[in-house]
Amino acid sequence: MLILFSMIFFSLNIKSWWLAQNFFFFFFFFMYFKIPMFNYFLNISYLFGMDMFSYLMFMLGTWIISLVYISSLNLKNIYLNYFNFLMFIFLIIFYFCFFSNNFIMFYIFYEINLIPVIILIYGWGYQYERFKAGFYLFIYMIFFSLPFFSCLLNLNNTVFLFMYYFDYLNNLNFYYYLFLMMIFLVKMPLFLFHIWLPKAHVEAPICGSMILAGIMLKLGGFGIYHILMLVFKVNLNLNYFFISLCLIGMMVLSLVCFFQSDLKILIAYSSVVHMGLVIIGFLTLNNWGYFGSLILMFGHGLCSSGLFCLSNICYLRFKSRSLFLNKGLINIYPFLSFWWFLLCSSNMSFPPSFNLFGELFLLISLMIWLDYFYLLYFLIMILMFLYSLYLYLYTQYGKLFFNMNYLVYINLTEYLLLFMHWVPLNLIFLIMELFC
Amino acid sequence: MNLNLTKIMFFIMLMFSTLMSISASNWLSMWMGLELNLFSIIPILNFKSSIYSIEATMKYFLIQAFASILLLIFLINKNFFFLNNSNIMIIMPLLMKLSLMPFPLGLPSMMEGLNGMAGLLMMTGQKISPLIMISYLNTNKNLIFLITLISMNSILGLNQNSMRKILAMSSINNSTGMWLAILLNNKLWSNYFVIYSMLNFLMIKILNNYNINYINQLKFFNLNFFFKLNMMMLIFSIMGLPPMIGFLMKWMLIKNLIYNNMYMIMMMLIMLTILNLFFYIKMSYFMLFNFNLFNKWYLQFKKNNYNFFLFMNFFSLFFSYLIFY
Repeated sequence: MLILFSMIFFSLNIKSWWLAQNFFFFFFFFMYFKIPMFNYFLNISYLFGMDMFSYLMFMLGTWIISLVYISSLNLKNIYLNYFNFLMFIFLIIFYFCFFSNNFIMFYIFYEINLIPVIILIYGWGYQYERFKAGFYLFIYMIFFSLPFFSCLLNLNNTVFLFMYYFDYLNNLNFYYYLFLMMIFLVKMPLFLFHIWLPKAHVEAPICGSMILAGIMLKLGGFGIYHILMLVFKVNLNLNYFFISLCLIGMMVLSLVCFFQSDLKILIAYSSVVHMGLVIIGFLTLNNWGYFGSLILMFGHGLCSSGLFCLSNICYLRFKSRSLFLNKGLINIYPFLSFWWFLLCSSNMSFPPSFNLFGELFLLISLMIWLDYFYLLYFLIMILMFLYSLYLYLYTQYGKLFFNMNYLVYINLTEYLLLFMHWVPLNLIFLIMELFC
Repeated sequence: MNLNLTKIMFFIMLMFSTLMSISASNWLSMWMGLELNLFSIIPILNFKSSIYSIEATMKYFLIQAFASILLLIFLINKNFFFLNNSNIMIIMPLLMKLSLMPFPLGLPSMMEGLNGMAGLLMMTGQKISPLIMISYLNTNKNLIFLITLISMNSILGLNQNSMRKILAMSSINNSTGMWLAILLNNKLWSNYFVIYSMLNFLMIKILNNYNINYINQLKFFNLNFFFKLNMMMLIFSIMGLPPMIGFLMKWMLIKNLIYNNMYMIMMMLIMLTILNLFFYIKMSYFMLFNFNLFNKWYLQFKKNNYNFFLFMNFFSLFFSYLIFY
C-alpha cells in the first residue's frame, strides 16, 4: 500500500517511458509469484481482503496497463508525466476496487474509475465527436450511481456492508434488486444500455480502449458477483428477465456486427456480446456459471484488447479504421495477418483459447438453468464465430487499397505486444486449476 | 493604502445583522435583523457600480422588501387568527428570501449583473439567517415535496452560457439541499454549508481572477496544466463525484434523509443532481482537453496559488472524517 502511494509521487518524476512500463511488468510478476492456490476468500483484514476472482482481475489489470505502455508508443513524447500519473492512479484504483471489503469503499473507488477514463478519452482522443462520447459515458455511469449508493446506505441500517457476505437477506424487495444491479449492468454493459460503449471506444485512443475493454468492464462483473449474494432471494424470481434480455440482445448485437464498417465499433459490439455471456453466467446462480464467467472475463480482457491493438496498428499505417480501406492486408503484411488470424480465432473461442472453456462452462450452466435456451445459445455461438470470421476475412483478403503513398512495416515491439496478448490467452488453460 | 470606511461599516453591519437575526429570541427582532441585512448589503452590491449592478440591486431590493413586509404581516397576524396553520405563511416569505420556492429565478438574473464576490455573498452569506429562521418552524412534508419539485427550475442552467448564471442555478439546487439539511439536523446543515461555500468561493475566485464570464471563454484559454487539473477537480467536486469533497455533502444528506424515512424526497433530490450534472459537464469539458485552440494575444497569468486547493479537494473526503467529527 505504502509502496503504491509513494509510486504516485514517483510517477510524476519518471522521465522514461520504458521505466514505467517495466515497473508495471515486474509488478505483475510480483503478483504472479504470490498467487494463492486457493479458491475461497483469504487474507481478509478489517479493510481489505481478496478471493481468487479479485486477485486474478487485479493481475489482469496490471498486465493490461503494462501492455498499454507498449501499445501507445506514439504518445511517448506528449504529456509523459500526466500519462504516467494516470496509469498509476489506475493501478491504485484497481487495487482498492478489487481488494476492498466494504461496499461503500468499493463504490467510491468504482466511481473514481470514471475520471481517469474520461481524461484519457478527452485528453488523448482524436476527433471532435469525443465530446458526445464522453458525455454518453458520463451520464450512463452516473445515472444509476446515486440510487445504488442510497440503497447501500439503506442496507447499512441492518447489515454491516461486508463484501464477502455469507448469508442472504430476506427482506429486500424489487427496487433494491434493480438499483443494486443496474449500476453494474450498465458498466458491463447490458443490452439496451450499451450505447455508450461503441461511442467511447471509437473516440478513445488505444490506451483508453484497452483499459475500457480490458478491465473497466470486468469491474461490473466483479460488482454483480458480490451483489448477487446480497439479493439472493429476489434473484430467484427475477433473473429470468435479465437472462432473456441478454440472450436476445446478444443475438441482435452479433447481427449488428455484420454491417459495421469501423473496426473498433465491430470489436466493441463483439465485446458487448461477450459481456452478455458473462452476465448470463452470473445470473444463472450456479457454480458452472460463476467459473465460466470468471474465465470468459479473463479471456475477453486479453482477447479484445489484443484486437484493439491490431486495429490501432492498422490505423497508424492507413490513417483509417474503415473496413473499406483496411482490406487485402495479407498482400503487404503477411506476418501480421497471422496475428489477425490468431486473435480473431481466439475471439471466436477456438481451442485452445481461454474463451472456449468459458463458453463451454456457460453453456453447461445455461443448460442446467433451462432446457431449451441452449438452442438459442448455439445460434449465438455460430453468429459469434461468423462475425469474427467476417472481421478476419474482410481485413485480410480481397483487393488491396492502392491509394497509399508509402508503406510502413510493422515494428518488432508491435509483434511483441500481440505476442503478449495471445500467449497468456492460449496457454493459460494449462493452469486451469486456478480458475475452478 | 486608503481604508474605505463605508465599506468596513457596511460589512460589519452585514455580519452583525446576520448574527442578530440568528441569535434573537423573538420573531420581531429576527425580522429587524433581516431588514438591517437588506439595507447593509445594498451598498455592498454597488461598490463597483454599473447599470447592470444597479438593476440587480433594484431587483434584489424589491424581492426582499416584498418578502419582509409579507413576513411582518404574517408575524403580526400569527397571534390572532392563523393559529397553528400560520407556520406555512411564515415559511413562504422566508423561502422567497432564500430565492427558493415562489420566485427562484430572481437569483440568476441578479447574479448576471453583480461582480463575483457580491455574487458569492448572495449565494452563501445571505442564506444563513432565513435558513436558521426556517429551522425554528415545523414544516409540512407535502410542502417539502412541493418545493423540491419546484427547484427543478435549476434545469434551466442547461440553456445558459454565462458562468455566473450557471452557478446561480446550481445554488438553487444546493439551497434546496441546505433547506432539507437544516430541517433534519443543524450540524448536518453547518457541514453542508461550509463545504458548499468553500467550493463556491474557490470557483468564483478563479473565475474572477481569470476574468471568465462565459463558458466559451474557457475554450480558448491557454491555461497551464495545473490550473486545468485544479479547475476540473473543482467542477467535479461541485458535481458531487465520489472522491471529491462535494460528494460528502450528498452522502451526509442522503444518509440523513434515509434515517428519517424521506425516500421520495431523496429520489427527487437524486434526480435533480443528475439533471444538474449536464451543465456541470459542459463546464468541465474544456478543462479535460490536452490540445485545444487558444488565442495568441491572451496574457498568461503567472500566479498560481491554487494548487493547495487541488489537494484539499481531492483528498479531503478521506480526511473529512477528522474535520467534522
